[in-house]
Amino acid sequence: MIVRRAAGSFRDPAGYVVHSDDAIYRLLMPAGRESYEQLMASGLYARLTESGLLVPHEEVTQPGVLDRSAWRAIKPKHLPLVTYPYEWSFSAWRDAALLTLRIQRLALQHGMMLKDASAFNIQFEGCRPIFIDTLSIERLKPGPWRAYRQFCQQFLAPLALMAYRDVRLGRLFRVHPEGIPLDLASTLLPSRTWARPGVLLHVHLHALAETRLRSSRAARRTGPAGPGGAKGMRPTHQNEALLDSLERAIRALSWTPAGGWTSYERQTPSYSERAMSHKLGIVDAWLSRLRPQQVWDLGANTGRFSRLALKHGAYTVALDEDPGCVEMLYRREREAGGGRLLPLVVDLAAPSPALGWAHEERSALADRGPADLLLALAIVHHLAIGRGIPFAQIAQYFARLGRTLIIEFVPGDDPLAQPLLQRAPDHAAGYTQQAFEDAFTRQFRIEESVSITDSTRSLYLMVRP
Amino acid sequence: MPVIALSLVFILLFPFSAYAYIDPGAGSMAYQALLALVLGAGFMARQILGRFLIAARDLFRRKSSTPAGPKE
Repeated sequence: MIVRRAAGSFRDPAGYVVHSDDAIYRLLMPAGRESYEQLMASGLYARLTESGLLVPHEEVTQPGVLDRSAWRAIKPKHLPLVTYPYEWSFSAWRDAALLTLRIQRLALQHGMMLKDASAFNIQFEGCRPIFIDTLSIERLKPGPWRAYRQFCQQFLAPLALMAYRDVRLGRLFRVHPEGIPLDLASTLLPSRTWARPGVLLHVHLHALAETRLRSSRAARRTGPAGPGGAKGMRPTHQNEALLDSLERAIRALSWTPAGGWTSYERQTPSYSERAMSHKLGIVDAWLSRLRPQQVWDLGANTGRFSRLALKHGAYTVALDEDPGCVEMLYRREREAGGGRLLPLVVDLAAPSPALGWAHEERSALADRGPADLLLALAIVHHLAIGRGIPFAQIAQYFARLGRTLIIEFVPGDDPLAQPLLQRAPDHAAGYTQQAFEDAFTRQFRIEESVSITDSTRSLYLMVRP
Repeated sequence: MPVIALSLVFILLFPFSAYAYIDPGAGSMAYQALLALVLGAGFMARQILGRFLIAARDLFRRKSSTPAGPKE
């Protein structure tokens, strides 16, 4: 068995991730042994995995997995897709923050703590957040919580910016993948947030402290551990008070798109009832024939077709560039208890890039696929006309994203495409069904195509050769 | 209360100076220690007040229920 070290896994001396062709493993280094043994023996691991808060794992002994310096290897449960905070809806990020605090609280009760509070340690199974970095839980150490600033930078600051300034600021995290610097967050937040206790204490005053306190006698006296570092364990009531305060700060943040769901559902229907039911019927039939394990619904909007894929048993990722409809879809699926449908904010014309050290810590969207099936319904005209991307490039990119493709073509004289063409008339000449088919058949084989009743649009089922 | 107290501490005590690159977390750690002290004190005060209120309520109940209550 050939295992390769995961490119993004190098910061933690307690261990790192390797992957083989079909599984991932976490190798444990001697530095993390004591903490790992306490995690397993204290009952914390059982408590966290039974409540679905931490990814469960099994210990493995296969030859070839362990390298010479590792003392143990664990194989965590496989998750369908790795996603990043800058792709999450507001509520997903908020849930991830609350999960982090809950784990820290439970860890403290077992004489342990989170040694970091990275938002990248949280992944989603559908709309359920789960903590994946087993080695982040370590034996409780004296002094302040070392992950406090990271928690504020990776959860509180971006969430406050999204809630109080503009939800699109969630994408600022792509520029600062180690967390939004608190002085920057403090500058960008509206002045009314100085009257919000949580944001005031943990962002504004915290930002001031970073520059003014680090040269203070208090910081110098005890070094990086801070005051109290030399005096042993911090009293339990102080830990609890800090966690309570952070939790209140997170819970106080909320964001709902103007108009809520209704603004999406009330949009003028662009399909007659007959056309829509025909379209649903075709996609339904193709889904039951293909039985895909994982479906990416590109431009998912209200998630109507995502839920159809879900009904056929697929783990479904609903991608849309509109943070509002992704937020509403997340809340609806979360209420339904959904562990199989994950809505993400992704602009397909500028999808998540590879980020971090050596461009390898966080993968580009395309490198996290391919999905078994892509749904590209009423999206191509947006990319081709609205964003000016030629059919050939769209076909190439879709061929990287998925093995099979259900795609809809909306002709230029269609009411959906007309307003776009009026704004960008230069694209009209190249925007024909023939050009679309020519470009896509260079990447895919057309298995079937159907004209949608009562409309001028067509659906194609295409397979990558 | 903790908010006002901390704001005052900041305005009054800490000089407006910053050295270049010490430990990027040092200021944050010192702040957190301070914050935990203040928040922790509030937490303790609330607990003590809570216990006091419960004790007072029990005392009041015992007193008010004594005349009608069963004799031991």
